[in-house]
Amino acid sequence: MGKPELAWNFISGQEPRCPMCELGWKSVGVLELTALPSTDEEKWIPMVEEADVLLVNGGDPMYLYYWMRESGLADLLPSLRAVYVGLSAGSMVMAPNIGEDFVRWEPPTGGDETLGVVGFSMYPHLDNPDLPDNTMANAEKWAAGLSVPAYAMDDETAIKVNSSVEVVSEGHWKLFNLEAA
Amino acid sequence: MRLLLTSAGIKNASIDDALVELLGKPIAESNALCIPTGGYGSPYGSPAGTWRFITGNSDQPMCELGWKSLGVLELTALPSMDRERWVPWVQETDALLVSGGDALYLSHWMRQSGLVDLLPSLDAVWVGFSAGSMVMTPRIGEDFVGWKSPSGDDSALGVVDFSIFPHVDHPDLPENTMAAAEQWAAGLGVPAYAIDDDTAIKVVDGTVELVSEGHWKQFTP
Repeated sequence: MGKPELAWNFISGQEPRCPMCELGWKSVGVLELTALPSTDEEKWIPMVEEADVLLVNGGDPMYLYYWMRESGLADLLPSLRAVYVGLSAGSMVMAPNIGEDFVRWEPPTGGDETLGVVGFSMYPHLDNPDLPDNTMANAEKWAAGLSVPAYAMDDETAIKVNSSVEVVSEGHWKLFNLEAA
Repeated sequence: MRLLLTSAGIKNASIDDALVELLGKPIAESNALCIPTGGYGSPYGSPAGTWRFITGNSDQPMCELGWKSLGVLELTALPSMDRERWVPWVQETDALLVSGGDALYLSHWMRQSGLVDLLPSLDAVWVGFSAGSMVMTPRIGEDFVGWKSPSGDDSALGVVDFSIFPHVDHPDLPENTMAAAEQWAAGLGVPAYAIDDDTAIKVVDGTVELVSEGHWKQFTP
């Protein structure tokens, strides 16, 4: 958890810096990964199978990765019809690894490996004025430590993954390590 | 510790007044953390129900009261977080708003998270509804056992020394009659209250006071 107020802002759709729950969904529910291991699978798996969308908050990507696996949700992902919509760490967790720069919470296994649902890594919040370290120069150094294609993207950019990868942007972004693709 | 143990939240002006009295200041000047955890253990719980509770769109008014700030405290997440991070959140809050659901599941996570050990030292008002109130009792009674605790019995936290039968005579819960409450109480061996959704139990330093615009009954063993 980030600050408890940030969790409330996300869930209640009062986070204009990263809009998700406020978009006008027919219904919204909370899926708490840390609670799933103590919840009946017969109860929560159908709920995930029936959802049209999973809206995944940011925070710590390694912590999210850990609970995606512990909860069993990671194993279900390939069979789900839902669209996975991540923001920040919620997107990064889909990469094969996040890069050492972004490791804060240390998983029991160590390392920076994440789910690898997609074949590329992501550097979010590029040139965000509130995050002075998130420069293109730092993104380039981050990408140099990775062996997979890597996108640096600003907050006006998204990566749409279906059978192919498409960048959707009204801002700016850059692809590194194209030779690794 | 100060507790406001309700059946269905802040349902009327009398319960609202009691809450403000316990806070010692207006709700608009008070910071609150909501605890949705109990909902996950109940067959009636659902992701949508959790969302309604947190966002203040439920039939059990708590989060919608106009708090100065509101945060989510997720008990199942606490064991995988540094205590140095979350303990100050709990110590600094004015109120803990605790969802219903399954009382024994909530009791389990109160213990697993370590929050139960902090309770005596907290300044916050505990505001529970349904299972969020029952979790504070010594036992909930076999009738209310759903989720099976590792101990296998019906014991909860025992912060107060009486048991609670909530939602008495609720039209949607035809089994929650006063007669059923009386039978439930007969097997408990501790004092007990049956309360309807317009009733709350105010506890300050062990002194119990009933706040009601509805009806309730006390049972003694």
